[in-house]
Amino acid sequence: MTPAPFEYIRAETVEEALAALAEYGDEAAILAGGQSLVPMLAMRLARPAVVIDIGSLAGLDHVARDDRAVSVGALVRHRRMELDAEIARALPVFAEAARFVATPAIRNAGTVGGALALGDPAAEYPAVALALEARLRLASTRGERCVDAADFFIGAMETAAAPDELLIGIEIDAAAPGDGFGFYEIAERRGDYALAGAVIVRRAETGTAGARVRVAIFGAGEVACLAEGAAAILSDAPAPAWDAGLLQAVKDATRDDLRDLALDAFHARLAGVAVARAARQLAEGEPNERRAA
Amino acid sequence: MTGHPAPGLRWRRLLAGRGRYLADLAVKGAREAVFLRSPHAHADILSINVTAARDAPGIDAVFLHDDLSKVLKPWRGTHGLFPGMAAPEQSALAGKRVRHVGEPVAIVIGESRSACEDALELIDVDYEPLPAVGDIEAALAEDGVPIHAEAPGNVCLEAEKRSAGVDAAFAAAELVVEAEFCFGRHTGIPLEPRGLIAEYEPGEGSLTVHHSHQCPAAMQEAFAELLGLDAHRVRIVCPDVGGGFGIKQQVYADEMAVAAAARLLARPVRFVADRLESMASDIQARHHRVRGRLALDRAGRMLAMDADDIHAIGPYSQYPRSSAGEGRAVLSLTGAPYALDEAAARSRAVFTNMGMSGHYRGVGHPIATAVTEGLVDLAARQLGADPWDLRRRNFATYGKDCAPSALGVSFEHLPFAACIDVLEAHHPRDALHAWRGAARERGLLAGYGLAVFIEMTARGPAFYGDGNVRISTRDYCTLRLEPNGSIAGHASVTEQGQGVETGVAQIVAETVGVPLDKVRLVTGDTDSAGHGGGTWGSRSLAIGGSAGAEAARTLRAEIVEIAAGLLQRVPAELDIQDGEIVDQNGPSGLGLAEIATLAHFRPHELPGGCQPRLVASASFGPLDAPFRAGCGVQLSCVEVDPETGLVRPVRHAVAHYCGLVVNPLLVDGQFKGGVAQGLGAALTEELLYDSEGQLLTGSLAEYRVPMAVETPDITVHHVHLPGEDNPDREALPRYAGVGEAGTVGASAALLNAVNDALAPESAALWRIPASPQRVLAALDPEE
Repeated sequence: MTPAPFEYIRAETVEEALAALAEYGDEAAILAGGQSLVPMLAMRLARPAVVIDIGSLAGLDHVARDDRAVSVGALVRHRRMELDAEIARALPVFAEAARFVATPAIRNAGTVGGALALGDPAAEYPAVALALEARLRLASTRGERCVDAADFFIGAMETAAAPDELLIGIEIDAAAPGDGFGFYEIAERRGDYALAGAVIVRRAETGTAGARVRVAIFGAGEVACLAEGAAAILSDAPAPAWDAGLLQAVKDATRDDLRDLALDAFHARLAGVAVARAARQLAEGEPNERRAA
Repeated sequence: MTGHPAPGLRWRRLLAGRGRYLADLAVKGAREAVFLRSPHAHADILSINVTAARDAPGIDAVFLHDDLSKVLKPWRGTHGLFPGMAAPEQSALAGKRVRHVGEPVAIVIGESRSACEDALELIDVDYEPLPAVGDIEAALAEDGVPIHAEAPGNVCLEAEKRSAGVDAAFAAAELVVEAEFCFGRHTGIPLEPRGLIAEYEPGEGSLTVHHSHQCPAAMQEAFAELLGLDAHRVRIVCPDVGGGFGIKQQVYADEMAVAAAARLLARPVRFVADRLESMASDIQARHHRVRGRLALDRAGRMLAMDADDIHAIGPYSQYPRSSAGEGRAVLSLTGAPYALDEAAARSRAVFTNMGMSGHYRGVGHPIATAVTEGLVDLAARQLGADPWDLRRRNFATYGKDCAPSALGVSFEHLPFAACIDVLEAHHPRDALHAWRGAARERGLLAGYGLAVFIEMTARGPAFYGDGNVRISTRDYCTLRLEPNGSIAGHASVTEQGQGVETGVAQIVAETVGVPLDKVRLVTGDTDSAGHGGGTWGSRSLAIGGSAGAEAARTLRAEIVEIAAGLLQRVPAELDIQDGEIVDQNGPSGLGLAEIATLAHFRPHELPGGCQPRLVASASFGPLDAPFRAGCGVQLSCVEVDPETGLVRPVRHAVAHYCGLVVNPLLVDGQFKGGVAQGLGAALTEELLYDSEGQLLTGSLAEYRVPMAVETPDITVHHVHLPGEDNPDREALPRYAGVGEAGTVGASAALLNAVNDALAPESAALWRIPASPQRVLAALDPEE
């Protein structure tokens, strides 16, 4: 378990990283927290010619908020997402999801940008980004662009980022009064990749009593995805009316939503359970079972 | 001193990160070895081209089968007691054919692991894949692929025990319950992977191997035999060893290749398995399919039990112990806790193209226990009987003047009833029923399960010795009185973190009469300790502790004799307590330090002109009994999520009997770790192969061992028999081992708990691990 030989470039600035990416493109791998790349290098599953280390460059580790949105730098560690007061206020579902990422040692090192850029279908963040309608900021020597999460996660370990693009951060609309969320993950051990998980975000519609609900699934398929049918049921009924009958309908709808996307019937079934439980949490304001951090 | 929960003598150092494991050893000039391993489960090797790898930077050598066979013999895992066993020839590197994924094909030796792994990629092997045997059914299929020409039906060993009236008993019984049990394939996952550094000195014909191993003396025999060396010129040294569990009890093809390479190169060669290759090449175990039946009368008296076991080993019988062990446990322990009139057991070990199979903590015991206890719970449900009561009503009585078990095994007295009484006193059934009812009201399925277990420990020479297998069932200890009055010595027991060194030191300290910190034992070096068994079969405290007690008694007698001369008393009036010579009036004023000073530096002042020896050795092994048995009862409580199929163990308890408890802290540790491994086996751990023999669980992300957070609180209750608490210092106390007992019963208790939880849904599951998929399939067979 030692990596195949590669050239190592330590980028001190975003510009240096982008220049290296422009030069090496898909021959290069970005090293940030290293929690996914380093094992893949050690197993020789990843064999980049060049590793560009952005772990120590300045300027991508911010959590900033304006009156509408929160901006999170790509190098913010999972542990900060879990514990940061601003994240807890503005993006509570993200803080909740961060607690389910692997183990504390990994959360201390792994980064938001790394977890998103990897596009692992069993990881929490892609689904969180989908449910929150995150905008992913990609930079290259050609310039900067923003991609909606819905357009970013294409397949297993596959994203819309071009080979010369670096994910530098995300922007997400902050939670407003009346918003709510549910998060439920089914795994055999704490910190394992999920067998299935669900993220539900309910955004109150300003000026009306209605709300828009987005449901995102992870772990159950080849790529994190939205469960539109389940979301429609939840959008149409106010949360207090989410009774057992409705949750059963949500469960069934999720399985329908995943008919062609889930790995198999078992995973589709668990995804339905996860959505129903996340919805119940949202309805009841039921705290997630806290795990030892 | 015995009975005292002393922390392990190495723990402070190990917990501070100051362990010296194999990879930490600095050996001047050592080169690293890496293996090219077969990606195929079954294939012919048409050609191998190593030219580019030999020329790669930093590479000293690349050896293939024919290179090593100049200095290394092939072997067969035969056993003299089973002349009918198929034991095909195995070599360190595959020659013309590979028979499992991960089988070593070439060894690359170079300046670093990294350089060697780079060179591996330059080796070109042309394989012709063959159909593979990837599961039990395929091994025994009519048109199955024979893995060895000499075993056309893929049967390695078939053994059977059958009492005369068993068929009649089943035919006449009022109730027969029956189930087919499936056990996943497991392995031990020591935190420190396997490893060794082999150094051959051509000028002496000597071999020194630093080895992460449990049984250095057995390896001395194996290296000498297979490399054609004099065993007395082979030295095995075990540094700190980070866990064994049986995984480091074996002879491995890759490790033999390292020694052969060191001999060919005449320079030190180190190999430390990485986690990925450990998954494919470490010894695997369990993987049984057992059809079990239990016959009872309507009053709940058990009459007869029957088990038909198929056990999927790898492609070879394991050398040198053979692959007879797992089946033998099934043939010995099926139904053993109960008074049965009749019993039958058949076991077939079958060859497959999966990884090598051998001895992992429990060796067949967990299989026999789960089958027996599963059938008992099944019968209880059918009879409407309480599982506590049904067990109590049927416990066997063993001991002097008692009949052997229905399968013909003679046990010493085993206090099953005392154990279940202690367990129920701490975990009353009313409270369990209340907890179960409350959980069910919360929408969970909840249940509890019991498992009565017997562990056969501290074996005598009847199996290996009589089978012409050179595995010692003895242990050895030498003790010296040092000039400062302390006791130093060597023992052939070996440490993998379990603390047996501490246990033996406690026995020595107590027997001589000194504080524990005045005793220092060195273990794990064949050059200093005499030939002994090391760690396997829950033997080392029971046997090595007895050797320590014997040596300590002899040393103590000499010290007392010298003291008697100095004090002008008779030895019988004197004793040693806390390092001081005492008589009936208390301390004499003479201490071991003074005696040692005299003996070492002014021996002419000792009365009588005697030559002080002040060194005593003893070797001990059971002669009178084939094994020492311990027993107990385990309780598992689980919650099952009916929607996800996830099983959560919420509590586990053990009440056990193991004779005299030398160190309750160490015993608790053995039980808790053993239970955790048994729960892992029952819940999340499984080595999965596809039908082509490809390993699907190649890392710890897929082979999921239980973590601390998933492991429930485990309570251990020690059961003592009257009169055993104060052993006679002059007699050998009765110790039974406990190293495997936790694992032996944990899976069985958990599986019974799952079935108790599923029972209201009229569902049952007789397969471990009880994964969410399997639980959901049991609950909802239509899905």
